Amino acid sequence: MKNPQFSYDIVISGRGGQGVLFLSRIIGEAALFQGLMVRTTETHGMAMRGGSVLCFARIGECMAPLFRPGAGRLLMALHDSEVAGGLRFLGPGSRVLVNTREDPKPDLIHVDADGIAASAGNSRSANLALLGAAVTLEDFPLQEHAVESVIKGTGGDRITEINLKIFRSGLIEIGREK
Amino acid sequence: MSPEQSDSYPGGGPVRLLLGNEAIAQGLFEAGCRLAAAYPGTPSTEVLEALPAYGALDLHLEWSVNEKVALETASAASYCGLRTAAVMKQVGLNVAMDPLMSLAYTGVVGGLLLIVADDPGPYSSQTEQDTRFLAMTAKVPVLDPAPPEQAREMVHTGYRISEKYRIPVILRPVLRVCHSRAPISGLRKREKGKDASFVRDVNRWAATPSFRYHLHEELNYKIHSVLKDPDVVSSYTLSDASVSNAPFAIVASGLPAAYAADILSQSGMENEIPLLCVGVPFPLDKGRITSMLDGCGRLLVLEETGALMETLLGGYFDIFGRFDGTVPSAGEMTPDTVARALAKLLPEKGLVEETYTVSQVEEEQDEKAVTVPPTLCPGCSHRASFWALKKAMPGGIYTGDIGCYTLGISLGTVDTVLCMGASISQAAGFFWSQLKKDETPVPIAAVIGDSTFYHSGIPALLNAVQQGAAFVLLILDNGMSAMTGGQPSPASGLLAGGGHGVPVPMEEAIAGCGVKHIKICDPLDSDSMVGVVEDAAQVAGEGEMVVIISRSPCALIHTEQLGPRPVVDHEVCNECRICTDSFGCPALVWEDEGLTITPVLCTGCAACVQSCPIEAIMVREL
Repeated sequence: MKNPQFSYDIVISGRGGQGVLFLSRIIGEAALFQGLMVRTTETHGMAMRGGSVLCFARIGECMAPLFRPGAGRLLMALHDSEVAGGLRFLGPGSRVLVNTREDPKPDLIHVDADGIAASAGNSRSANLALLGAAVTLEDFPLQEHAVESVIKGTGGDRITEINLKIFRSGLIEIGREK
Repeated sequence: MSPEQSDSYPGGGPVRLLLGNEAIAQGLFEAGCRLAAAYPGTPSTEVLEALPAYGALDLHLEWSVNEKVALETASAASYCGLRTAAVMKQVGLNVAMDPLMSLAYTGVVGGLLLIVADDPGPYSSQTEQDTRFLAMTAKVPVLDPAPPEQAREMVHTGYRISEKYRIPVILRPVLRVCHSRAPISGLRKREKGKDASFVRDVNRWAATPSFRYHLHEELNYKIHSVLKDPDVVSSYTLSDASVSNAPFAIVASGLPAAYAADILSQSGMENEIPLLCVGVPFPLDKGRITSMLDGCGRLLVLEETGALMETLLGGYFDIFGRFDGTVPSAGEMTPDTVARALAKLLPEKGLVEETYTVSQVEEEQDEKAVTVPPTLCPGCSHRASFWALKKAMPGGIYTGDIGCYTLGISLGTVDTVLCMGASISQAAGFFWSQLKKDETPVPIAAVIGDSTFYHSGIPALLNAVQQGAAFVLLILDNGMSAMTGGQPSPASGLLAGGGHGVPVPMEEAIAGCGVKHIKICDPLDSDSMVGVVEDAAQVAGEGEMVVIISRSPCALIHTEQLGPRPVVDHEVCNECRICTDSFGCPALVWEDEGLTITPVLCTGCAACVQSCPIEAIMVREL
């Protein structure tokens, strides 16, 4: 049923304030950097006040920013209680990345993104560790250099260095688990 | 502004990943919009916010006090021949309906684009109303964009139609258009507008009822003529599938059209089911649709949020849609809804896919899968205000209003929320309802935010005072519209395009409404706040209106640490959980060792100290 010419669809779940929106933005900008078509959605207003937040990113040809349950290829959960909220959008053969310190469960790829981000010195950038892990997945369409280039354009020198470190630590972390 | 200056706005620039609202703002800039007035409201807010960055010196931007004022202000600039825009959310149009109905009759000169963002779901609104129906009521064209790039194009289309037929035009993006990002091509050169010139025409701009009849006839002619406009005609696009062999055809507008296109192509059905996309759902050209779909008697109509096209096409086709239950009549339309609707008509196609199951993990996660509702931010002074209200006026009736502080529901201090400003009028209504009883009246407190007070609280307060109603009005003054990202309130005097206007202090407005008792206090100074509310309740009980301005900056915008983080004495704490269950600051969490205060969340406001009845939470002086 799945045609490779269609978009690579990503669900991002988390809580308001965790940088769900920022992550979807980085993914979007990196896709644009690679010259790929991309559509993302964001959540604003009432729903952002600490509540559960779902964002979507579609990389490749599509008309709409949302996709139907079963079409998603990757779930990036910034909070381990927000996995279930995103699971229903995934189809067979998809991958799940979870920010958690718990022991790995089958089928889920655990990344201690909070730990990586805190030890690098910016606990707000756990989302980038998760993105680093995503880049190591074989079918993930974004390339390391594209993401790095986008991160370099987002903040001051010091924060950028830390964020790059967090992103690269995500790459290493997942490489070890594979 | 001379035409030469316009040349300083060249086109070009890179492709940018823009929000739908930012794409609309780019369209407004390119189309030479000279005045844009808005009232903030999710999902419309970012349109006006994106405009100052273009640095157009000939563009007046304003956060108007409410939507009615925004549209009225825009209408006069349009009378002068300038391109203008009024921007609001869907419930804001209810407030602006008065000028819109009349403006449709008078018509416009410069293009007037009314940008109204709908919120199917709803995610951040009281209703799921469909602005397209209000367009039909006012007899003005409405454009229904799908992806952001189309929303930007429709700004240009809307201005062309508005100026050609001298009619206000509504652009109606839904939340998923406003708040999705897509690559938007570089800037086009800003169009040069005319210089402003107002031509007197009393029988139009100040028409009396007899002339209004003629203007109504003229409006009927205009809206009929719009159907033949090339931009409107080209907004009807039919896919390549053969109409005569199809089991049914899809007629869709807005995002549901994009969902249908994605699903048909991903399922390899784009050559089986014809898809007719309509960019202008009102006025709807039924003749064009019947001729484009000649030979096909059955339709699936996909549109958001109501059944506008379905209503208008009834009698011409057998229709699957909202009326027969093929499509749900409430909630956001999603690819899932569209797939399920298609699956009902094409059961053999397997359109509703099995979703992923992650061994036993999903089951386990399902137990955890309680969607977390939004809460007041850590350090939000509204929580302290509500706490003081609950303490000083227990057992009262608390009328609430629209804003972040609606979340006071979780503290038990919001009993009603109707619409902007209603906290005050409803408090008056409760006051008058109690007069007939012999029992001791229940104390009444209305709670409203500063921006909402300016928006529509002032006439309500004036009315309540003049009628002799007495209750406590608590105005939560954080100096901005916090829910929508911190737009300045009139008290600040700050302007949307930068710079300073004239501040209008809230105290003076309240005094002007005839209120004799006005108190200003800091909600984070809890002891004095409770005392102020107790005194106010007593004065109100004696039959006088009291207004308390609870003034403290928004914790989301002013992020500096306010003081040392309180500590918990676990020897004293008896785990009664009042602090987490009733007070509910997100920084307070239960860990294995007992109650803890999360360092990254705590702002040091210390409001939680008062929530503990046995003083287990305290601030230790450093």
